[in-house]
Amino acid sequence: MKQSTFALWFFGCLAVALVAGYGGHAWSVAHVRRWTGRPELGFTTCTHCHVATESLAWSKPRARHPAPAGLAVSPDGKKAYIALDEMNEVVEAELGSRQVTRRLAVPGRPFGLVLDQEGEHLYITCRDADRVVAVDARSFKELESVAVGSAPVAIACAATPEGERLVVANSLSDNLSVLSASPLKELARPQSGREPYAVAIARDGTVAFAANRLAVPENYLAPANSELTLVDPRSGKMLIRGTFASAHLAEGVATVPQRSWAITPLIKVRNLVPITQVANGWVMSCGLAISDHRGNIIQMPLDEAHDYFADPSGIAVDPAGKRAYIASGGSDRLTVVDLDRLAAWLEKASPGARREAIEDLTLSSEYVIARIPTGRNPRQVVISPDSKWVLISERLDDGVLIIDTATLKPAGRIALGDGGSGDPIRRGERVFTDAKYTYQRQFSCRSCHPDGHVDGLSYDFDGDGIGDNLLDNRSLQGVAGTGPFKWIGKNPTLAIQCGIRFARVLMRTDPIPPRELDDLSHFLNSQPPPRWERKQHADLTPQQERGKRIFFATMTTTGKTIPRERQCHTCHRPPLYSNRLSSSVGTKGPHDTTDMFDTPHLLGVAFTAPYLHDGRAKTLEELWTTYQTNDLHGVTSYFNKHQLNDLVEYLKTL
Amino acid sequence: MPRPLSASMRGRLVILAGLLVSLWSSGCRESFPTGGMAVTQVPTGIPTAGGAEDLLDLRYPPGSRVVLVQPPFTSGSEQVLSAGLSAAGGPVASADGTRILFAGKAKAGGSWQIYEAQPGGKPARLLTAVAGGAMEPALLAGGELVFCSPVPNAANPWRPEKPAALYRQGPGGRVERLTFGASPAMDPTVLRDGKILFTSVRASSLGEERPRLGLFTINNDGTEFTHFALEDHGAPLVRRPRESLSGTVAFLAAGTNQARPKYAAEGVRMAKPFASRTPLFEFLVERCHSLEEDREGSWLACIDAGASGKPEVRGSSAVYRIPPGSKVLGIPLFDNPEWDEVEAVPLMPKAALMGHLSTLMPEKSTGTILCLNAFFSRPEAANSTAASKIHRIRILAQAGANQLVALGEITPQTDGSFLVTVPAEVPLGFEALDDQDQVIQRLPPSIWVRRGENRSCLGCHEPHNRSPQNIRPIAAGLPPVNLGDLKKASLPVAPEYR
Repeated sequence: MKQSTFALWFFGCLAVALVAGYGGHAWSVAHVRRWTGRPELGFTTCTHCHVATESLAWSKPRARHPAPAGLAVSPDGKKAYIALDEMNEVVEAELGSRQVTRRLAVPGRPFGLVLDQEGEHLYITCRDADRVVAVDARSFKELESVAVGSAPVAIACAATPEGERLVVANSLSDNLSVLSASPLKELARPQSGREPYAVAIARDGTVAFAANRLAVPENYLAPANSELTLVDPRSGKMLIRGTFASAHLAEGVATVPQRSWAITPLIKVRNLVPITQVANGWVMSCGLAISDHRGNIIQMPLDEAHDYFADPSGIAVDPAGKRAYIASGGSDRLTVVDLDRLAAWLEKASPGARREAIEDLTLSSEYVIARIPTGRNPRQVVISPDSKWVLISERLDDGVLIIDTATLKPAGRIALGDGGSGDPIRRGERVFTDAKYTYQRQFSCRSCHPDGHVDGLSYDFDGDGIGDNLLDNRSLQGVAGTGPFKWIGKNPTLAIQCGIRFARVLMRTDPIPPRELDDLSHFLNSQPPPRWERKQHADLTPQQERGKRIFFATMTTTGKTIPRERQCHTCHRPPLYSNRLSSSVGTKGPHDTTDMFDTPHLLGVAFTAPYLHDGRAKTLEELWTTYQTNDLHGVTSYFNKHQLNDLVEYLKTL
Repeated sequence: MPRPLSASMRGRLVILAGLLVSLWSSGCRESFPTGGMAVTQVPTGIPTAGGAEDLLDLRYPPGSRVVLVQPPFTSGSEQVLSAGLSAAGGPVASADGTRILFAGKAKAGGSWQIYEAQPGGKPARLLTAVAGGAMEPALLAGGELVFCSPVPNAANPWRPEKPAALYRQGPGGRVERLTFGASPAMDPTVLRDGKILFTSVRASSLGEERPRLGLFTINNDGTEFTHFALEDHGAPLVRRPRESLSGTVAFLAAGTNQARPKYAAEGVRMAKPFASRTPLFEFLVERCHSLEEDREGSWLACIDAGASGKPEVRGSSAVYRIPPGSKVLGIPLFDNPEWDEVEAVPLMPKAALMGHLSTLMPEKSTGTILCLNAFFSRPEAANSTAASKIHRIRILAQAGANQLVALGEITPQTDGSFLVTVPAEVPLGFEALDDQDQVIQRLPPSIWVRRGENRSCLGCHEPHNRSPQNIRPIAAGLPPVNLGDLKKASLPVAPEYR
């Protein structure tokens, strides 16, 4: 080829490429501006709007692990029953040989377990199937099942004068199911607090305690209280709604024989205090809530002045009421509390000292007698009826640790799997639940994102100055593909969001190492929106259909055109219900430095209250009643109350 | 004839050579074998205080040396790590037990600097070149050096003209000051949580002729200065705090301020450091020179068991290993009669240290203090009942050696909170005033903020190891009061408060 021909060919191609590139760019910018109604926007990638959920990590099959959830021990202390929710199985193991002897397939993610007093029937909550299954413990076969509320996670059983009763915590429908054991039948479904997660029944069968995991949103600048719900297990009648003042994430509860107590491990939060430090439990600390049968609650610290025991979860009390055993999922420890010493301190303490006890980090040494190391992420605890053994589920090691209560040392372990170290999602979950990445092991990612979800609180990080930019915590369920992250959309990836920035403003340590950060991203991206599968196959009610029409409306009911940029589905574009761009919707507060906020995705939005970047809106309704400004957050001024309700009901289906 | 290497091949070879060098320098170089110990030996038979100019001259008179001793710790088997130096002492080991640092003096009349011992009998490597000298090295999680400088005068190290401060030496030898208090900061050690623990003068004792010492912590960037332990009772002199795996911080405490005080081994529990001070051993130890955690919960201590019967003359101190629960001192683990063993550090891997990512903003000249409730005071604090009468808060700063200025006064919000911008890296103090301008409570200039640091406190004379209540402070919603310009500070401070 001659040089001149080559030059002609080269420059010709270059010109075509330039024209095509410029034209493509100009078209794409015009396309974005047209479909967002925002002329100020420049080039954005196609995936801001055009996403296939099938391509997202959470919609793909993932490895399942035999992670132990609920535990129960037979009355003779010889057998343990273990729910393996990921495997859809319940297994029976011999405590003597530490071997699994029988397996039972239980579809629907079996999670909570309880045996009746004779040890003849095993009752299992199926978290995804919304059912309680009764199993014959001798034949290890399913007998019957009954429908309960949404996402049942915990179950307790007790004999009452009216017969044997079961109380079930329905975590997503915020209520309890009270069942008769024979026949297996739902008697009542009393309302509880937000996310009931643990239940226990007093030995005399007169009162059941349900610990609720999240606070019901109130004023976002006031302490968030969660609830201890007391119900009568005979009738299901609500007795008292106790308050865990400024505390939450209660995932266990146990009653104490000989004393009229129920003890709940929980997290004491301090989200209203600017996070200028994390030392001295400035962000949160762990404690025990001691409630009497009238719902009077005292909170006691579980942490120490320079060592913390993050994410307390399961609790078991021995039959003599002498000791409580508490699993700390974030610090891989089992804490042993001497209840006599605890009672002695309470007896001599003044009312003021009791009230402030939870703030005193030197107090736990008065009654904590041991901290026993466990495997990864201990969550559930159960004690054998003869008090000899304590069993702890090591959830992310696929095992159950057995502690000898006489020596307070490990006596053996039931191995359920290999721990799944080859699975990056499992490794990422270990990072997510481990408090070792924070200063003095004070908290883990899970402490604010239980099950990858929200804790319903707003926090004041000091990186941008004290008091500025109060930030509502966002759910990580369904987070894959919804970047950028942070409310101002500053961080393009989860690794950046969770890396150096978090180390600096929150964890106050070195950043999570890159390989572990990569695993963490795998885990976060694998978290599906709540109840995704079920929602895909559910039909909409007429009200929800009407709400859907409003969501996708381009005109008001009076025939007026809604500007493109104020149509709901423009910014909250399916299938993620976010176009991943920042927008101004008139919600800038007096301490915000910008009015442009990242458009959150709406998958599972029903469960993520409160709303808006600072959490000021308690409910979805408040978005368009209390906090709507000049129709900037969608055109809603034409709504009547029915239309608003229709829209909200539709949003709850996402 | 061999073909010349192509350019790309040469490049590859250079890269390979670089990799090999880096591999050698990172992992294949010699290191000290674990299992031994680094010991400071001082010549025997010399007076303890004669002619010492500075504190290290007193501790390590000419001829003092740092040696490596390995099992079975026989006398005379020492390998000298400070060969060629006029005097040396104060060894510390890295958390992995492979590095040994100490203070040394190249020649008599020179300054003390920090050296790193080299394995294989090579001469120690000089790490610092600091005016006024450097002493008491410690190592942070990333291997960065922390030290104390200048070396104080032997006569009265806690009331010098220029107080000793802690410094950090980063990559490339860049030195950054970490403490900015009005009184000296000494004896740094790094806790497992990454904080630097050190000794300084208790705020309640500032200005006294014989100051009483306490234990304090800072982050590795000098932020979050916090009182850690030892407050109103106990021996005034404190040295060599060391954290143990069992959750104890051990230290040496002495009751007198003489030239050669009798130091006893004491400890506080991390779980409640202000209310757990006890003797570390069940038997009496009068002259303990050093204390380090050893294997399996035992302690390695250099103790003068009084064999010479002449405490004013050196020569009877030896290294002891003291297992947990020991009722008697036992026989020395290592004792060379020709030397006085005054410090011993075991070489062994210890729990990894946490790091801390700094939030400093060097471009700023101020920091911010948020007090959650000025009306809140611990019950045992002086005048705590009057805290509710606080009308205003006066903020003081130590602008120079004897120059105390008032930056200004602020009125707390109704909930007791206030938010104020203050000058960074100067000693700050507070006076709580009632409506008659009478001082109710006072903290003399003793704390500081670093550049861009946001600092919080619970109240005035706040309780220790206490979490805040979950209440939104009113001041957090308001702009901070700006008292950050030291030049604008003009309020006079009465001489009696200086």
